[in-house]
Amino acid sequence: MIKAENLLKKFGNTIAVDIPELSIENGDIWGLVGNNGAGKTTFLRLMVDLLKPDRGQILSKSIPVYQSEHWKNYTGTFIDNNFLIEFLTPKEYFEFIAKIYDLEKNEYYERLQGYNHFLNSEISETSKYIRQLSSGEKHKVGVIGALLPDPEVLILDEPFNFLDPSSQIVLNKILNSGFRDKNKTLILSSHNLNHISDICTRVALMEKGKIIRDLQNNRESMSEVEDYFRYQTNNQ
Amino acid sequence: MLTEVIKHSIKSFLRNTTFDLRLILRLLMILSILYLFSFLVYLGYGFSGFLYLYSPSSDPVTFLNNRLLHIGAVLFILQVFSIKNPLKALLAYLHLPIKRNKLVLYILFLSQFNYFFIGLLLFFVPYSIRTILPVYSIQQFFFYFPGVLIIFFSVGYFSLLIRNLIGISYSYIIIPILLFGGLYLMDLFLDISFKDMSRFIFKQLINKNLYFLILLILILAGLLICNFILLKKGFYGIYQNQKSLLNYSFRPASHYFRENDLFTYVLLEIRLIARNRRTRGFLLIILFFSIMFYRILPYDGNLYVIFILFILISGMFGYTFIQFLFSWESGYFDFILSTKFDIIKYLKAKYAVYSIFSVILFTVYFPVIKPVQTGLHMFFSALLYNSSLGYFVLIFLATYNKFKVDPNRSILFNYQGLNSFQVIGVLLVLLIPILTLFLLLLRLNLTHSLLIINLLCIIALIIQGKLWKIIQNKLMRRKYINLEGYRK
Repeated sequence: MIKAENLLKKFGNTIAVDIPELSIENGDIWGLVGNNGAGKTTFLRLMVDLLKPDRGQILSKSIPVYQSEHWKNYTGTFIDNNFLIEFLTPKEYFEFIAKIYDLEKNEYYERLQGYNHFLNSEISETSKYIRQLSSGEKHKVGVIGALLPDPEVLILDEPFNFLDPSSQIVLNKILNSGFRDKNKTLILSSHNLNHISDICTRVALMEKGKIIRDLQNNRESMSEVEDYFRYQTNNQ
Repeated sequence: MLTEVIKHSIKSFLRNTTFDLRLILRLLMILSILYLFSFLVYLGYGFSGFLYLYSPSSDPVTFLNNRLLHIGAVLFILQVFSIKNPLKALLAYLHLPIKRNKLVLYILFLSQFNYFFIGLLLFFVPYSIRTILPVYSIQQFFFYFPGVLIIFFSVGYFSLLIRNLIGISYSYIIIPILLFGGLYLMDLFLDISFKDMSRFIFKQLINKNLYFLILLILILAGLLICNFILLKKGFYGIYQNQKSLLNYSFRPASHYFRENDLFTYVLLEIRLIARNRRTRGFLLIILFFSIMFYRILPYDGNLYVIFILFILISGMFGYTFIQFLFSWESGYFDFILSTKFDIIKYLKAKYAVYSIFSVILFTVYFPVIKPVQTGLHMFFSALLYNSSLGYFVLIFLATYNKFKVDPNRSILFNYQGLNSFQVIGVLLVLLIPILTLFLLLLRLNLTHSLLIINLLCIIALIIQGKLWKIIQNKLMRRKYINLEGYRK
């Protein structure tokens, strides 16, 4: 589904991403973990062609993402607030997304209804502009914006950040029910190992731009990941 | 209890974040406000003297009264743009034992308490005492002075009414447009100008026309009643989030899916302009320059200068906004590039909005351009040039804009996003037609030269699709560089 080939991205002399080979298959729920500055966000940006690699390429359905924009038809992304049109209200923002993805009116309302327990009416019906919302609310709007077209591939960067505990649980459920065994691909990064182990079928560990582990999610692999972070903490 | 509310309002003003500055800055700010206010009082007091320096033959009373309605129109525009929703300030008092009628009355009082209105009063009161009182009888003064005050208050309450109605639905913006449009048409076809009406009002007041004064009072009372009813209803809308006066947003939801694709992007562009402080500030600047150029024309000087003026006037709206194109979108450029966002349609939507405004300006300027020799043809050529090539050249150069712009930051002392390409762009846009005209005029007369320019513009319009493609390709090639800049 998504492949990284010989991928290298540098910022000055610092290597941000260096992945010789990586393949994320259709149906994978791929979690990326790593400390701050490991290169997770840069890698996700490379995936959606927001950064130009210094070498190599990302392929989505075997087509380089920089070459064709076809991947936009089946990919939903939320990385940060740069994905939000802040002078729109959440409702207008969702309607705009529905429009550019050619969603039918009923289809749009149905989907939005499905996320109501996550979004709650205070956000979806508010007359506030997105810029006036709290960080958590903005984050919810961004995540739902990415989910709304019902994408085949969903890319989320730190989706649990800024969310209250209840919303974290709800989002966890949404992602689990929406992607597990659905032949869809979910790529997410998170600092929270619990969420990653709850949701993902594969867990990758990133350090200084390199994927140093890429494991199937099971008890042993998670304890390996935990050990890694424990070791990192002890060495600081 | 109401006195407490008033005290709170004063505290809220004094504890406003604007005053939350270092002591020296706060003092400077207070001093500059005091200076501005004293200047207005001084200007009002010595108006005759100042006018004498500017235009010795003008009578100060006639001069000002001929422009009374113009002042009212400016006051209206400034107030509609700047009045904050007064209900917001009183949310905390709604559940307290204060009668809502009192709160509404308080809002009605508070709404007139703004810098523009106070500034006008500071000028008008000393002006009336110094200039009107010595020339006219005391009875005439007591007709004139309250009459003019009533007009200003009416303008203030009309602004509030429109602002409240816009809060309910943006479609009410049609009321002032119709009003000003009607006045403009009256000037155009019936030869009844704003100046004439202003003069008429003054004449009625100075002639102690009691019925006229009563009519003014009735208009004011009508406006007060309308505002009172609307505001009182507005309290119930606050927490309903529907048709609330707090909701100053477009409400296209029900019609949204019926509209075509381009309209989606047009709406986004309009929202971008209407909902951000800097873009709104640009609108005011455009308005200012439109009025300024209106005063300059008809200009019978150098042919090239006239052509440049026409290009600037018809392209004023587009040029102002295109200069910052893609920087306006810097806050959500990631979204644009990673979704099915149709960039060409978005650009076309922008182009459509700018072109419509160019045509509006063309229509507005029609009467002042008519007297200029071959003015209409030249202005039409300028309009055609802007819509066919000028905007495209600037949009192309805007692909080099790699600086982040926060469109919601104030326009004052805001240099965010300025770069050399904007200067090059405007120079290029002006040079292309001027040089072409110059070269054509070496061989042909003006009419033929303009016809050839028109023909070239029409060709550019025909190959528009290709131009859009070139711009899109350029933008795609530049996107990584621009994105890097927008993230800084």
